[in-house]
Amino acid sequence: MKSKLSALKFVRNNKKQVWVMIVALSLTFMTMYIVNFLFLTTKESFKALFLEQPKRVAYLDITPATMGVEKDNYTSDDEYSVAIDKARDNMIADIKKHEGIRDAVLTQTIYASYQGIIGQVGYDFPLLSKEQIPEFLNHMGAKLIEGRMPEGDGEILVDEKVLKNKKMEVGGYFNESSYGHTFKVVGVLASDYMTCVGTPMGYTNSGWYIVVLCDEANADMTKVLKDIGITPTEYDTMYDCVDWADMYEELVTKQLDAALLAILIVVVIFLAISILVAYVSFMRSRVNEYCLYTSIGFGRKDVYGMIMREIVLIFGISIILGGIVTVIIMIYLGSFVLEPMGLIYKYFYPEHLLRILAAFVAIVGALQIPISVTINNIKTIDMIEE
Amino acid sequence: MFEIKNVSMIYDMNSDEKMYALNGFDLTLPDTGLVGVIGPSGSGKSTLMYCMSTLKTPTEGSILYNGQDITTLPNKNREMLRRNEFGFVFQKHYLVPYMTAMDNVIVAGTNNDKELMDKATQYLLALGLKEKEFYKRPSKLSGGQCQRVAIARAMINNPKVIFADEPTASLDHENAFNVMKILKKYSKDRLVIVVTHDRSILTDVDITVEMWDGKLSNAIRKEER
Repeated sequence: MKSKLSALKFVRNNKKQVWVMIVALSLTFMTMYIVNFLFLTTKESFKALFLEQPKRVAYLDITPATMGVEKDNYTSDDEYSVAIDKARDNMIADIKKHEGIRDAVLTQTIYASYQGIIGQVGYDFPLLSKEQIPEFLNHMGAKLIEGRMPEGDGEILVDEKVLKNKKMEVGGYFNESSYGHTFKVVGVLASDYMTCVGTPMGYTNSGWYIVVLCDEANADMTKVLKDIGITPTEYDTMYDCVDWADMYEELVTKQLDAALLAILIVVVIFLAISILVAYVSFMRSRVNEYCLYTSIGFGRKDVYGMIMREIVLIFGISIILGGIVTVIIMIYLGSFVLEPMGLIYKYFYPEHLLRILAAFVAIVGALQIPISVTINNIKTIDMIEE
Repeated sequence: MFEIKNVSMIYDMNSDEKMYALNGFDLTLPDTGLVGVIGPSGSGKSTLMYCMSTLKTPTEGSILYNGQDITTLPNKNREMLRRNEFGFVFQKHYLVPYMTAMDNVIVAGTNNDKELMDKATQYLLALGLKEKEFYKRPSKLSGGQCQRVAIARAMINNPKVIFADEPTASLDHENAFNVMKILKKYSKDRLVIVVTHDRSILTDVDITVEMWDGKLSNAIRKEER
């Protein structure tokens, strides 16, 4: 015996209404996922800079006081300066001896910016002698894929993604925050850490740092310094894995996650209100139909079951359709927008997909309110006719 | 089939002046035949039909259907009874506006769709609808055609009892008689109860039940006329 009221009849016979609903839900699904995708592309791209690169290289600027050189102990600036140089040289020699440290060198750096879909991040890269560069590239696992190695002053090698991001080519000039010096791009690097390196040319405004080439297990410079008897203070600058990880958490993860959550909440609230209003109107127009069903022997549970099956069908089709449209748009964005920008992206974020699906389930949950009100108010036809 | 014993239906139970829609009503009906319930507006004929079909519960008295008192049945059993044993034709057709005539007939069905469609085709043709009208929505059908679709819907489960409340109200004379002819044919091995205030359609009924002020005024069998 047939025991269910068919949900297909409404879907099949109200194509216009149902398609409007399906298209609206699909577009909402797509918008939510694409916003996630773009935000997370930024996060993914910045991850290489914030979390991966500092596992291989750290930048230290340690104050004389930390190195044990107090100005009051010296009668002239020259004496003080010599003492600082000596203490720094000793410290560098000690760092080099530390386990897991490949090299440490005092050198100038320059600043490179990298533009995400949302926000921009800046980082320093070292200016080394042309003899030091191959070792640096070897340590960073970077390969020259185009152009040549630096031969003269002011020549740089730039990671292919950074180069794309800055819309530059080999032969172009890189003059970001470098006191007007122009660094010529002579080669392109393929690397997992967005590696850039060059030869110095005059002073840049990024200053001098001790560049430490480390392995992942010894990338915490506070620990390394403590191991050699130096206790860093708040006045010391240390761009190492701990510092970058904190910045990533504060500047990228927390802010992007908060923005994503805010967008999701706003979209869900607006969507829920729109769907509720649409459904209340749908159900009002069908009150006589529901009354007929209960009059001819279907229970309220049967009517509720039919309404829920209709909703699940509409939401299911919307999610499938929205998923297909989303994949097409992501492939387009990936190939024609993100790839040319040199951004790192991936398509599948299961956690965020689940969050969107949970939002849809929450909307279905919210629909229970008007559905319950309607179901409880169903009368039989004798009551209508009276 | 039906034994109605001392049934009263009181509206406004809490007010001082109680309104009796049915007042100590007694009636016994056989398993088959066409029964016409007639009376002026407010005489309680529709209330009687709704009580017999379990849509309403009388305030007092009992209604035995095949020996079982249906006034005390739980809701679930009432629903099963309405769905499996009763068919309904209401004053208005109550067709679902977005469904075709065919879908409106089979929506009430308890068999599989293929069997239901064969049966619906048979009933709709017998009720005078053309095949091309089967797939029209109610808005594209005349009032008479809609009412005939509603009658086919009432018959689709081959119910033991059909309750028809003013089934010919929206039909012209010719269609009204055709509908009554179909109901008469159906009543050969089933019970059909037609509530009306139009005496002219009751020429061929087996029992005429006349009501006045919620009471049975007269019950005349065909052979007694």
